[in-house]
Amino acid sequence: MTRSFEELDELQWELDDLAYHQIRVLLLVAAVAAEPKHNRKLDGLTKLAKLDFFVRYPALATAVLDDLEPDERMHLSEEDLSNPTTVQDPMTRYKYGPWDDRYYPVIGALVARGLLKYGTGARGSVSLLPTPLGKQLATELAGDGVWHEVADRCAAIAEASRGMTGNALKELIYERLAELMDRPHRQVIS
Amino acid sequence: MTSRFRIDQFRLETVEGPVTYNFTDDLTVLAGDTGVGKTTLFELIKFALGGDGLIAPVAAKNVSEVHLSIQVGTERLQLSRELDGDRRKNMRVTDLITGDVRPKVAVSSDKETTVSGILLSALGLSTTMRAAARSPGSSRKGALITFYDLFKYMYVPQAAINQDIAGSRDTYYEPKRKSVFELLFGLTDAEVLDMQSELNDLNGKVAEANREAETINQFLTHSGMKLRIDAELALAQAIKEEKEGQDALIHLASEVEEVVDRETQVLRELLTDSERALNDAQELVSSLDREEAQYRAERHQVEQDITRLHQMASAGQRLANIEFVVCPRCTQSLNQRQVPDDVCRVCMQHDSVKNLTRGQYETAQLVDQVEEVDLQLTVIAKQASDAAEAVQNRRNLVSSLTAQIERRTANRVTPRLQAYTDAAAKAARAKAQQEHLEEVLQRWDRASDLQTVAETLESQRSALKTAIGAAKSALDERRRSVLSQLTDEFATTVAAFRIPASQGATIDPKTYLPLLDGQPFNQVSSAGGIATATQVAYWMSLVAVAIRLNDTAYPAFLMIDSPRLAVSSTEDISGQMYSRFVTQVGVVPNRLQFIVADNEMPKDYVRRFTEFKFSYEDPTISTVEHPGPADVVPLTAESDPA
Repeated sequence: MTRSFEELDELQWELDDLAYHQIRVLLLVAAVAAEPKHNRKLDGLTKLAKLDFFVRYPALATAVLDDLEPDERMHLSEEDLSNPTTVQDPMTRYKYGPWDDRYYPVIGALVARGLLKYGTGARGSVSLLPTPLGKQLATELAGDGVWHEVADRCAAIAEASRGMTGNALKELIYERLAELMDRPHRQVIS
Repeated sequence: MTSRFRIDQFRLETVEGPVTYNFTDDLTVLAGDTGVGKTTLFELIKFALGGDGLIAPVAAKNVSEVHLSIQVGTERLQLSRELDGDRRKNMRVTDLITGDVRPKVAVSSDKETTVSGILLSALGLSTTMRAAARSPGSSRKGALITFYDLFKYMYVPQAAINQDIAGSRDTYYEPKRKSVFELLFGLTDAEVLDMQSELNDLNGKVAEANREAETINQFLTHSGMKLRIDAELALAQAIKEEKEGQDALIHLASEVEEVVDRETQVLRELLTDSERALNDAQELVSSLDREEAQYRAERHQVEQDITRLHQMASAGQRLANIEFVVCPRCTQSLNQRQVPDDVCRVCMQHDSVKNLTRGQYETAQLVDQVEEVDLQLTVIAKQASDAAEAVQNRRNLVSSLTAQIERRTANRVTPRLQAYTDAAAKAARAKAQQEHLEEVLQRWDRASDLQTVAETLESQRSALKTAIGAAKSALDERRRSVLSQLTDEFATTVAAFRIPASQGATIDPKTYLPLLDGQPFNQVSSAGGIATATQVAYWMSLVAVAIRLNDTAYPAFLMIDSPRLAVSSTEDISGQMYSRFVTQVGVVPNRLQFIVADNEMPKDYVRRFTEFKFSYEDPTISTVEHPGPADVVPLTAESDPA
């Protein structure tokens, strides 16, 4: 089957976009699993989405997680602070807080590539943890100039959210960012 | 000459029917033991005349109305008065000659038509006479003389017979008692009484004028102005000073205005312009700041996009070599099978994405965009720097101009401000001084007016005193004659009554009261009822002289309640008393009326005069059964025979 250049270009964008999200999620899961108080795993998709929200909206993370400020690992510029919702990858407001539809293919791809594996979560839910290959890649990425800021943020957020469940994080977001969450479902948070 | 006053008939309306007494004789005696109702009857007569008679409980309970038929002056009237509550405040007066019933007549003295007024008019006396006090300082016109003041000379109540004469014990009543005595014996008249009242009134006015003059004089003394001319001069000076102050104010105002106009105004205009320019520059700085912020935000976003592109590319590359090791559908391992090149390990289709490389076009575009933004930011930075400098320059200019203006106004206006304050204070002081002096001058005017008033009043008072003096001297001869006759008659009567008075019995020419051995009658030992006998002698003497003179206003009527009560043991006095009554009425038949309450009339006179005999079985109010002597309550303590 022959594809046109435009079709191939579009496919490449899509693949790179998915790859981009996979790398970030891998870094986040690796950072959380490296933190003993998270039981060395990322427990549940809700928790993943909330912690990812902090990675993607770093200026808002400081408003919710008390232990984050001041933390140079967040790499916040003046522009980040003055426009905290103008970000690279906005999320969508769902019933249970910020969410991204790409989590399912992203996690599926990471597991299929052998970078993450499923574990047993609390109350029968699923948990994620990096494979030795995943850990190795995450370590490499942390030393990569393109990714080290993202890796720093993931580490800082994993540390600041120690001992908190996905639900607790959701409650805290609704409490601290009430105005931002007071918008219709399926609307982009920007 | 007919009688001046006479009671013809007294009728009481009782529950059981009327009780009537006809007084046809010149002498009538109501005889009977103590408690049969004689005093009750006398008090009811007083009540019927409009007076405040003491109403005995038995009368209040059984009598509904009293009717008194009288002759007074040339009139014959029937006076009717109800005893009940509010109705007693008015009376019905019937003219017995014409049969006319006059409109309701008030008892109270503050009404226009009163019973007293009708009776006084009938006696030929003025109804507006006042009894003014005679003391030189007195300032009251005196109380109005009513018929009831005259009635004190016509009725000697049981309570008073050994106590006082026509209210002589009450000092407040003294002016009236004496005035009425003089009136009855022609020793004064309405005109003299009016003049005396007027004199007292003038005394009051003069005193008031003097008091006010004193207050004003004190004020003027405190003002420090001994003469009116001093106040006038001071006022002129104050007016001059106020004008000077005002002129100075106008002059200073024009000077200050001049300074402001000529020199400072230019600086002020410059300042206004500079302030406007400063505002503009500050606004420019703000707008540049906003613009810079917008560019920086834009640049940040573009940088983020560039990072994202780099990350996407990096992620793509990183993951390109990490093949799927399990099937995402069945989770079976994919490493266990042979897969040709250019075929997807999962779907086994032609792997069209393999070796796809994207150019750096988007990144280059974004980098260009960042450079462009940087260029804009540089331009803005230069503009911002220029604008900030302009702001600083204009700020300096504003501050320099403000300082210059302040310096100018401080140097030029401040000294004038002090002068301005001084001039304003001077004008205000002068104005206040003027108001004070105008008040002082008004007081001088008032003092002058008061002096005129006081002089007029003094002159009136002097004229009045002269007139009173003249009127009194015209009456002096009569006064001497009347008092002489009264004293003679009294001395004779006292002697006839055998009242002990070794150094003589006289009528005091000042008080008109009887004296025994120079002592007031009620201060002489009352053993044997001397006081009572003396009083009876006094009344007999008054009546005798009045009848003899034949030109007095004395009503020739006397109602005496129980004169023998205290002298009953002294038959001589009692006999002499009746002898006098009889003699008097014998001299002038039908012109004199005595009504006496007594235990009994001496036998010699019973057939010649009327005697109403009463007993407990047949009391004065015959329709009411007497409760018996044990239940009699005297009308007054003094009437108690015990």
